Amino acid sequence: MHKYEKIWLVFGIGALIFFLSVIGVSAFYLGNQPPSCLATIDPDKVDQTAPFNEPGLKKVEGKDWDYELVYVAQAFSYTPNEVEIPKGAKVKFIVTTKDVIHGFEVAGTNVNMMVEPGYISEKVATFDKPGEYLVLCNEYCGAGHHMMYSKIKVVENQ
Amino acid sequence: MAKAALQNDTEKKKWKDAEESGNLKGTLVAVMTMGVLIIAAWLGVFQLFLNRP
Repeated sequence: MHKYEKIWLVFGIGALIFFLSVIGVSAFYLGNQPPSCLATIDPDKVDQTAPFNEPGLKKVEGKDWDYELVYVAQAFSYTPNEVEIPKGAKVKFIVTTKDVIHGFEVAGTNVNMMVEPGYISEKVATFDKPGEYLVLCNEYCGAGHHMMYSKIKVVENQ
Repeated sequence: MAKAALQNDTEKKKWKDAEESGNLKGTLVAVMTMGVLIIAAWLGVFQLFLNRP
């Protein structure tokens, strides 16, 4: 084997091992998972299936997160349209769609996932900075796709 | 006649190897540069991921 080939192989395989280790630690040790398509649901019965029969913010106890924020996506809106979250809250987003594939991105954060009919997408995030966050659809879903958004307001505690 | 042809082939191979080593060094430099850029971009995006809420 040529000397340069050996150098290239060491470099390439080393980079591969490094990348895989970072992802591996992130997934198996820190518990990071892809957010989409873990649980299934009947898309025709979304409005009757818990927890999507009552979308919105709910306080929960005994879990790793403080609140559950349930969204139903449809062409071309999110329910709820506006939410207020207390500052510092650890929130689990639980989202599904009633019709076609949508995106669900909270701009400026790591909450960014696909929402596919028949599946439930989940992501836990902590909101330490007060302000207004935009929830937008970043997966083309039809004629009204560019108008599909909702708001999250992170407010100071009273 | 056969001897002359063999010498020709050996010389051709030496000349070809010398030329390829020149190209190979440049190729290695180019590939390593690409590799460094790729790693830098990867680390940049990873930093974004770590720093966003």
